[in-house]
Amino acid sequence: MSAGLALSVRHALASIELDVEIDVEPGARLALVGPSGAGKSSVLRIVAGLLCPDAGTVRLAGRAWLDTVAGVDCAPEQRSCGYLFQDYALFPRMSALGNVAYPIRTGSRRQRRSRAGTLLDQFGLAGLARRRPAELSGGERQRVALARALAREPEVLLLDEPLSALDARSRAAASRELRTVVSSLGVPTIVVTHDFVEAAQLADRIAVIEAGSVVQHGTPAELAARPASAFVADLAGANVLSGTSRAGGAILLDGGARIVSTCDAPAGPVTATVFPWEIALEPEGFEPGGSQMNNLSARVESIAPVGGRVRVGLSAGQPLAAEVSPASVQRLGLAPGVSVVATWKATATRVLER
Amino acid sequence: MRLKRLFPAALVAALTVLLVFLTLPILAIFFDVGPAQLIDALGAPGAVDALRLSLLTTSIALTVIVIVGTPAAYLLATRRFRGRALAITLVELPLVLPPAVAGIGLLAAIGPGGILGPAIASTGIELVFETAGVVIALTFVASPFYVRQALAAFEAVDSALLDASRTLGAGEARTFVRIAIPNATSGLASGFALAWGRALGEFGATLVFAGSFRGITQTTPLAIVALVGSDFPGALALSAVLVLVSLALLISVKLISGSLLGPARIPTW
Repeated sequence: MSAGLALSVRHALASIELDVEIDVEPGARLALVGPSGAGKSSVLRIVAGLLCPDAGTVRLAGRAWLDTVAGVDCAPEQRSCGYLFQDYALFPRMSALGNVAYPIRTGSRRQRRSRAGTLLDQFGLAGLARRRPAELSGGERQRVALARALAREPEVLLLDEPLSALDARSRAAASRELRTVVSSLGVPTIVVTHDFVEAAQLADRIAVIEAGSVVQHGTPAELAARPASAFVADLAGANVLSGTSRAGGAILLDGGARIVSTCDAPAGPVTATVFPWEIALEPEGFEPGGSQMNNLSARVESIAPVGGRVRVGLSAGQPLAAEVSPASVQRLGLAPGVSVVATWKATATRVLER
Repeated sequence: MRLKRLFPAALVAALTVLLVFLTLPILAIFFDVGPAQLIDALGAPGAVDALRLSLLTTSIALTVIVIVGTPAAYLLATRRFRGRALAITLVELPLVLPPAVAGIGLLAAIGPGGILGPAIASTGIELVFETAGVVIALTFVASPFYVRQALAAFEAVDSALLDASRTLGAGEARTFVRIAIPNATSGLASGFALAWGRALGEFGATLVFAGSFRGITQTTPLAIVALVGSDFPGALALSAVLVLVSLALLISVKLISGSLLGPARIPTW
């Protein structure tokens, strides 16, 4: 029996049939990624008890929150879910403090407000306690909503498109903060997003959901390197490599290789991304073409046509995918087991802090 | 070219005719009698009785309407169930019912000879020709005005707020009191003002169901009709008071909905 969150549900939505089975261990972070209308948010609503599915079970540490066969259906207020809504759903007529104090029900009014105040402080909102949501910036609203969702010390965290309401500038910082907060909680977490890179940053595993079903499940790198379908390949887009940033744009990848990027990143753990179509393949023994090129020895693992191109799954310490023309496949005699050199420009390497 | 200028002129003319037609009778009430005469006429015992009775009965009716109508409207606004559309139509029915017919209906239902008449009589409650009967008539006629507005106000509350409240540990009742009502107050208040205005002006149903007895069932509109033949200035004076109260209600509705629901000031999320 799972110690974390386990759900297995079927539910007929307007145009699709939702049929998912998901298991999230304590402390694990799962991202549900897929196009809008695929049923991602419905999964969160089912976990939170806001939507009762046609059939299925939702269990936390073996305890049933929902079991349609046994007739168990706990009300949302009886489930311990921290739910971050897409547009944050802050109560517009309450101050930031009032919003965060709302879920706190124990202690005197003063104690509740002081606890809410402490939470606001933790989220860097100390001076904004009296502001109404309309008077806060997007990033501040997100932090108030997160503080409010955590005020009840939830046993499960549900994040619905947590960054989509933010502009591009505040998104990177918010994503970092969110990752820090979420990983320090140690509760099963489900993040819903339509953005693969966002998913890779916030979660350690990704389930790709298409028309109500999970079509592939794995780490971000596995999905990017070995997409099970053209749909996943399209969605994943970028390769995701984890490593540690050093001074001067060099990144030491987990697994030993060294790559360079033109992105500035402070020293520390990072995620480097590169699109498969930016990677060229050269024969084994190919010599580097300058300091601004990345050259990684790799072994071909799989070859799959994607549209008019060919997607080559590689193993280079970490999984990696390149998208090349059929002509290159012939020229290099690519087949599983063949050794090659994967090359791409430093400018094509984007680096995100982890 | 000529038509181009003619059409805007026609629009302005139409509006002018409409405004004159609608405001002339109201202004005439104030111009026909001087302020001194108005205040004098208000001193008549029947007038004060009527105003006091109107205030009493409309207050009780509105209290009942709010206590029953608010949760009923919330149910209609937040749940989808079979028969919901029918329920909404039934709630709105008194809006289109001629008031006299409403009075007859009330007599047939809860009058002495009505369906529930014996049952009500056995409890010792008197409705017909009693102040309680006025309250019943007002409640019947005015409640749709409140419930309709309340329904729209609750429907306009972002359902994510209600969902958020539930996931934050609040049950349905707490969500209703702490989130739904505060976020629907402007709509509820304008419904309240509309229903109150309708109740203040109620005439037909009250006359048929409760009669027109001074001090017991003769509310201000009934008193005005009773005075028209014998004491025209008195009728005018009472009318002037009703006009002022109605105007105050209308303006408060405009202020409430204009300042609190206006998109320019507070975003609706």
